[in-house]
Amino acid sequence: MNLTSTRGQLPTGVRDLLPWEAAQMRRLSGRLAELFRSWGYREVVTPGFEYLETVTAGAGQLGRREDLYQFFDRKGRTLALRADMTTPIARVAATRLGSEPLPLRLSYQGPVFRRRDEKAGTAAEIWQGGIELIGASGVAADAEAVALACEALAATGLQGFKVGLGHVDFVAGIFEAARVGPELEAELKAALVARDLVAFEKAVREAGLTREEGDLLVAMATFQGDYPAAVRRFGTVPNVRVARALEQLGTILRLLAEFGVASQVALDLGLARSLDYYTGVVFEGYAPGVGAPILGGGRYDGLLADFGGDLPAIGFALEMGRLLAALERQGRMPADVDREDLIVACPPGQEVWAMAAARNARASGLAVAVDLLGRTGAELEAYARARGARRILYPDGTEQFLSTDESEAGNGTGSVRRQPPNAVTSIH
Amino acid sequence: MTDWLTFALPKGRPYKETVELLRRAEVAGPELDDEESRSLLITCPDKKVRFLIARDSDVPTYVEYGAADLGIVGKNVLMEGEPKVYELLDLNYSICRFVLAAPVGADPNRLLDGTAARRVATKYPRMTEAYFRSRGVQVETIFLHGSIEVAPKVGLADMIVDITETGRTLRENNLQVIEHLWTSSMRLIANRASYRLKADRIGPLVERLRALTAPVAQSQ
Repeated sequence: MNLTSTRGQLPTGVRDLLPWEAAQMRRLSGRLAELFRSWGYREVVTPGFEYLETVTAGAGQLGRREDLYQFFDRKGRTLALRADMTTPIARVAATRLGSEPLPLRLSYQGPVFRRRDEKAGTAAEIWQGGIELIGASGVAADAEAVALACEALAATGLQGFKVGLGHVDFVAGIFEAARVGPELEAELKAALVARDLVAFEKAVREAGLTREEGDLLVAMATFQGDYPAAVRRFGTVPNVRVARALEQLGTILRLLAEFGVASQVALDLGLARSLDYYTGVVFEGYAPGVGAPILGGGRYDGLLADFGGDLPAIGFALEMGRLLAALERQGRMPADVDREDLIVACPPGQEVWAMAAARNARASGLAVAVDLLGRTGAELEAYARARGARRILYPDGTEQFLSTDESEAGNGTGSVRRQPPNAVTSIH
Repeated sequence: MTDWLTFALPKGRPYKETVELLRRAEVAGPELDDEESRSLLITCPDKKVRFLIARDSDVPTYVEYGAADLGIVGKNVLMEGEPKVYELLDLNYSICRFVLAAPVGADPNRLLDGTAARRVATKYPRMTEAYFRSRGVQVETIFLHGSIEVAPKVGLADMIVDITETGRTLRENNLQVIEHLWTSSMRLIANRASYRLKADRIGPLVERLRALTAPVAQSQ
């Protein structure tokens, strides 16, 4: 093996989807497309690369630029592969869809690209699927987005997932109430994003705040509990933003109960996401056994203004790769998504018959492959088994039924050949 | 197993103290012996907890990928690897210092003035490089898995970056501390999904451990 030539290798962070994986991805993506459509969301497709200024709009100061794949067009302008889907869709909504009635409900599926450290297992090409709800502010729109996120996870067949719900203004208001200055705020935010509670607490205790202020900050970062518990702890905080955020979260949770997804949602008041464009509720979804969020989203009311259209918006993205991994771990993936139902034998001279027979069988809804290599007997049987097919059709009109039991297959008794009861073969 | 908790614990020096803490917090039952056994997976059915005994640098990996819900590991390991896990609690034991050390008699100012190419041996190359970069001093970092203290003696390096609890090994190898870089102690870490999905069990457990490990006020 030649280890120095990269010709047959892949760069770190990207992978192939082999037929059985691509079939799973297609199945998942089909389910999501169907669900999004049934909620009134229309799919948009945006280009893989855009101008750097577009891709970085709203990304803030959190060092996204070095994570971008950048290159130049012929005039020397900097282009970048898209690093998320929300920003390009905000551009489309603000610049191209001005005549559409509001709210805009848009969905998407596709890969985004993020440059990563060379560490095994971190993807540089990330398949995402999601929605953006544009032109509607308020708790009903928030609740719709969160409910649809839960429905999307449920539609994939995933079990035991949880969606954590927080609010940017809640965190900001607690910072205000605890008199946190800008420098400390940046430090605390970074610790919240990484959920480094040790660093958070240390920074709080060393900041010279009062005992009460420090306790308030730590209580926010470590809060776990239901809505009444949140109100008990934070309802008396003398800050408008905290009060308003709590009230909004309360209403959203009530609406989520109407949507029938309340049991899948938990308050996560210390939730902070790394992207800077969020302005309201934020949420993340988690599945057992997958260490990273499988879903993330939130309200971003300022982003469209960056593209000249001042509209409120909320959305979420599912991480399709992690979702597939979680489904596989739970054994929720049908094993035979890429198999054929029927193999049509095609000995030399029987091509016309074989093509016609295959066409008939396909018309009845079967997945059919013609054996183009002219195999017969055990060889043909082995091919059919390898393709997961249960039946072989022969030019003499007989149909062979293959047993699915592997152990029987070995001694040649695992099949029966007989005239089929229905007449997929009768083309004469 | 969805209502069970899996802990990853580091073998070696901090093992005994880790087990004592988990027993006192009533997280572990008598099945978890404070002497390291051959068994690397220990189950406490009464407590619905499993313990996975691993090399310290592997603990964050088990937790990051969800093979373990929680882990106990030194901050030194977390700083070097930057795993994507949540750091929940400073457990305040196995406290050691990261130091920059050089042979006794070497002039620290000359070592760090940047006029000659210097070599630094360490088990922590990423942090070492970050530290010297932040100081604006260019050095060559030499990565070793152990016995760092010997490197200056045999001419492999001019300085070392290593952790020390008492400073004894440094003295025995005729090394002096030039600078104290960071302090490390044991931390409780959590898998990002488990932290949410098993919040009912993890929350109270963190509070019990917090009560048992809070530093004694003003004793230091």
